[in-house]
Parts: sequence; structure tokens; C-alpha cells
Amino acid sequence: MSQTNGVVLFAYNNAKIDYTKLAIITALSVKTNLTNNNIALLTDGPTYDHLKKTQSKSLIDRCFDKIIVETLTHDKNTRLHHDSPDKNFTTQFSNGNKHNVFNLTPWDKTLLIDVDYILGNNSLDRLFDTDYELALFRTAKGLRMELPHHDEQRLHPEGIDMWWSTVIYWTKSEQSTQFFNMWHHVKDNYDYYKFLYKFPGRMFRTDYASAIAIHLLNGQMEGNFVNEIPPKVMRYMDQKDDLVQVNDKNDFTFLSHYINHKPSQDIVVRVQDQDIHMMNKMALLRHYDKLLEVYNV
Amino acid sequence: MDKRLAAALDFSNYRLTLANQKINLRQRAEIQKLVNHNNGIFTSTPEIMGYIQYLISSDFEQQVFLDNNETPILIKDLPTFLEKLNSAYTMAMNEFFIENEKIKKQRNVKSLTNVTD
Repeated sequence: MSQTNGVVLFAYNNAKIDYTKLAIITALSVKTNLTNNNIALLTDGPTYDHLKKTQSKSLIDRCFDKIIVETLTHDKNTRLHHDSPDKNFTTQFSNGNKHNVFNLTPWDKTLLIDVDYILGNNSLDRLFDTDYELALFRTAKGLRMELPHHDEQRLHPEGIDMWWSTVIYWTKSEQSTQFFNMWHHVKDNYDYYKFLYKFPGRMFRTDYASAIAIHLLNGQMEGNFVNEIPPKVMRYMDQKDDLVQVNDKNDFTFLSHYINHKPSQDIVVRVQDQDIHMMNKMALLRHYDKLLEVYNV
Repeated sequence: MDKRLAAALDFSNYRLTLANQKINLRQRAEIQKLVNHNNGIFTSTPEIMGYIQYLISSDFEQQVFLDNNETPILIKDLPTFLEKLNSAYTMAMNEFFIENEKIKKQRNVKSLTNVTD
């Protein structure tokens, strides 16, 4: 029987962020750029109802090949979001069951993409033509190709490397089973691992849980348990950056706020044909209509 | 603010933006240099292409290469591999050159970054 390849997106709405719109934008970018572009949306009942109420059936069908609706109660997990330098807000962040994607995916080879990760080229397609069983990004760089805050490089200044759970590729294998089971274990014992690995903050971060799972499965050493996703650098737009203009598919102009420079020297940055983790979700949503237009909706 | 100082700061901002756009182009080229072969992912470089050319000209038929994640991959079709690498490298460098020529001619931040208003 032939193997099925595809992408999985999560969308759980909260009081302030419409994740269904983000999922639509990400899905359109996947359909535009990847050939392995079957998409399954994982969502909950209220979010699915909202999606059906606010979007046309033709758009939903164009974006999602499968929709899997779970009955869930989300653990309370509050996150502080920034929207450019001067605005911030807190809201629920429902990420407690992300590891369960391993059981929910309908695909044999799966690419999990967070819905604020917008594709600008086909480099993620390359993963499906490898023998890799598991791959994530370890390194992220901002709009100026600068490294992020040290909390997003290592769990502690003298601790282990952070791995980003923004994009995860895996095949159904013993190795990936162990990874997701270990992630689940870390999640269930998060306070203990927070004490052990000495990382900051109270919010449950799947990046940290997956990084600890990788470290444990590497025998608590640096190792090669997982592969790095090509091109080994995840570009990101910080929450304090802003999206100024959508020029076209795969072509964005940003205002970069440089937190490492005081006073900040903001600069304009145009990024073309690159995948970008757009952490400022509100900025992305401000351009929702224009994004639909450039994707010919 | 003194007019000359304001002009100097404007120029500084322009130079910073120009430098950053060039870094962006380089990163874009890095992505375009990627090649899949025999279930591995490789980055095309003049060094690896020169080495493969040496292997071919010395009548080697196969060689093991480490892919970008240090996975050893046995390559039995060296000429095909070389052709793929060269094609990706040529496309990446040509686009880098063309785009770099374009941004060199832009004399302000707006035109460099396509800001319309």
C-alpha cells in the first residue's frame, strides 16, 4: 500500500485570536508552495463551529482535505502576547495536547506546522524525500538574521539546546513513537523538569517539552536523535516586529524592532521566498483580507 | 535636529537596510542551493562539485557523502548527482546576482523594501 504524506495544522480559538483565520492563511501558503500538500486540520468543537459559521464551504474545502474535531477540555495556560513594541495582551494558549498529534495524524509521513508559520518556498517538501524519521528546527534567526533571546536558544544559559516545536516532521516509526511518548511524560511532569533543567516562566512551552524529550532520548547528551529541518535556520518575525505590507505570495515587508539595540533602531525588511514564523499573530490577522487576495481567494 | 545629522542618520538607516537585504538574499540563496539525492539533503557548494568532478575524472564510480544532517549516503550515480548540484548552485547564484544588482541601484529605504506609502 502506498504511503500517505501530508500536513497537519492545529486551530483552537481563544477569546482574542482567531486561529481559524491563521490556519486558512497557512493552509493557502502550503497549497501554494508544497507538492505534499494534503492538509488535515485538528480542531475542537467550538472552533469548528466558528469556522463553519465565518468561512465559506468552498474556502474550507480548498484549504483542508480532512478536518478532525476533538472533544477536549483545554488546560489553563495563559500567555503574554506582544503586538508590536507598545501593545500586549494575555490570553489562553491551548497547546497541552500537541504531542497527541502523533496519534491523530491521518498521514504516514506528517509535517506539523503551527498556524503562524507561513511558507514562502518548497524547502519543507524535501523532508518527504529522505529517510529521516524525525526532524525539527534547532536554530532560529530573526528578520535581521540575528539569534533570538537566549531563552530561545537554550533552556538555561548553561543548559541544553532548545528545539522549536513550530514545525515537526516525522514518519510513523519506533523513534518518533518514543519522542512523542517522552514529550507526553515531560508534559505530565513539567514542574519537575522545570526544576531540573532550570528554565524560566510559568507557561507550558512545547518547545521546552520537546527539547527535553530530545535530550533524554539522546541519553542526556548532545546527540543525533533528531535531524534538523532544511535549511537549518527557521526565520521568524518577533512579536514586537510588525507586518507592514503583503506584496505578493511569498513576499512580505516588515518593520523590525531590534530588541538587542537600545534605543531600538527600527528598520524595514523585505523577505521574499522564505518560510517565516510570524510570531506577531495580530499583525498577520490585520492583513487577512490582503492575504486572501494574493492567494486568489 | 541638525540637518546634516538627520541626513547622516537617514543614510545610516539606508545602509543598514541595504546590508540586511543583502543578508536576506544570501539566506534565500542558501535555500535554493539545497538538493535531494538518494534520500539525503545536500547543500551545493563549489567544493563538493569540484570533489565529485575529481572522482569522475579519476574513474571512481561511487562514493559516500555526508548529507546536511551527517547521514552517510552512498552515491552511485556521480554524474547525475553533480548535475543536480550544479543546477541548484547555478540557479541560486544567478538569482542572487540579479537581485543584488537590483538592490544596489535602490537609493532609499522605500524602494529597497517595496514600501508603497
